[in-house]
Amino acid sequence: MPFDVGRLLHEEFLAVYRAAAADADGWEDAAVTAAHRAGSRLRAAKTPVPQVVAALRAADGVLTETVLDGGGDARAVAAAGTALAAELMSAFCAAEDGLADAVLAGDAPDSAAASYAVVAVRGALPENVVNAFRRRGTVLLSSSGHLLLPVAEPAALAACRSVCAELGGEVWLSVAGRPAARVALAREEADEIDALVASLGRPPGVYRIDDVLFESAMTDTREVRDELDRVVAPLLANPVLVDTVLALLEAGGNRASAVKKLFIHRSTIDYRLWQVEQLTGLSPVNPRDLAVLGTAIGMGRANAWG
Amino acid sequence: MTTVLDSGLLGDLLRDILSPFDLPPVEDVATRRQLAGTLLSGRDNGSSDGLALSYAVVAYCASTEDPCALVVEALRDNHDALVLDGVYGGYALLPCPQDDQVALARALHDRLGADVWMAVSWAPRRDLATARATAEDVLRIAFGRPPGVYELRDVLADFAVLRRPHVAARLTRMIEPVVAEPMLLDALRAFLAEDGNRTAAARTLDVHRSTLDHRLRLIERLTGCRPTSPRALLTLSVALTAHSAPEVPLPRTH
Repeated sequence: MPFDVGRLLHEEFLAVYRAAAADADGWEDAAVTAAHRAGSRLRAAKTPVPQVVAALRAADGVLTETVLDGGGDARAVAAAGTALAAELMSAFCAAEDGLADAVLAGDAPDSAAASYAVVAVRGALPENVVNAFRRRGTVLLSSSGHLLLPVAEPAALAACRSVCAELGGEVWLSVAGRPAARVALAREEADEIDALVASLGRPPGVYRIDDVLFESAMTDTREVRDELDRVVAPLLANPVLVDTVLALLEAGGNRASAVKKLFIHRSTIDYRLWQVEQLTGLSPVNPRDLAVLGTAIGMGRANAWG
Repeated sequence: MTTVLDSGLLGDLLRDILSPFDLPPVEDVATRRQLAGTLLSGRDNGSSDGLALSYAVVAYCASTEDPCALVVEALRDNHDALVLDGVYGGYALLPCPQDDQVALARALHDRLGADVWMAVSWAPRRDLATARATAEDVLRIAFGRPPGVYELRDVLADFAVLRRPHVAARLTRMIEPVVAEPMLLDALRAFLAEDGNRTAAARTLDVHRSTLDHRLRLIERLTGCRPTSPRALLTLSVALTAHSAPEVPLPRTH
């Protein structure tokens, strides 16, 4: 059964508007109580934000007209409308933030879902992305800027892909799901994916741990990290060679298309790739070595930028 | 490099001047073997008479006994080398400054002229246990490739995944449907062995190139990894390592 937001607001707010119009004492306290109650109920009913905003506007128009019909303090009524709207939104969102933070901190209340997917957002403000998710279902925004979807990972991935398609442009969403008790791990994983995707220069889109598996193992292993640093140090000093390797990687290892992208001669790229092999001991014409070189460059740059 | 292996005149002179004590004589194989085991297990108790400050750790193995005997033979007269040998594999400790270990191992490998897999790492004497573990894991990965000398740099992604069991488990699950189809597994192995060259891989498999392309597309459908992308090919390669990196027949160090 759809939740009648308009009727709820009308019932809760009418007395407050009347008291304000009559300039009766104590309408401010009544406004806080009524708005808080309504905000909590809307949150519990998982009402989407746009619907709440629209209902608030409509209720304000109708109630103002009603209570001012017989004459009254128009300024006080306007103040009541503002106070009610502000309190309601604060109750609606603040409690929600609290839940996200509680779940992330590992003390999910009984009302929490069975599992959550944590989404790390890059390339857009979480506040902007959150509205696109709200149109598709419940979403919580934590104070750390992570989004929490109370669904298992596959459903979350589908939602993320659809949001990404809707937003378009340069947005990266890194997703990790875990049961409610272990959401902290999901957040760590989402952050790790996000950091890897950024440092590796992957194109915008939706990512999960499977998309960066060997890279995550490589950054997690000290000996490998140290060796990658040694591999890439002489290369990072030469931006032309770095760009050549990245262009070749982007071209899927196809020298002919890399040459076109770089506007250079075939013999030039061959010479540069020979130089890369001399400097690093890895051969960029071997696809596996090329992928390792790409990873090393990404991580080397991430280190250089701190 | 070779001066260390050949223990030339200069080395003898320096040792006489710098170290009043000496390693057990080369004839005392058992004591020297035990010393190698002690160092490799990280128990350098400070009684370091005649020992070098840093070593190349060469883990080696072969499919038959003879090549391993050749390694021992090649180092028999090298007073400074310590060997912990087994039937199908072993460790050689060669005194070595940093960054010379690969050339040193290659020189040894070249002298053998046999199918031997070698993995080399380097460490100061007190960190030899870590270097031994690194060499062992590199050797496990190298054993699935052509014989030769390998170092960590050659197998970085595979090594990292072997060290991260949860990542290895995910990759194993991903590659299992391919491993279950011998035809697809052979296609992937050939494609990897030819470094992503489709024409060469088709020739190895003795199939038409379009047949190979079809099998590679099936692999993509099963795993989500497109073999013609370098990243995806590395992922598939590493997944095969995670699925079936062999144990190597190395002797125990303690």
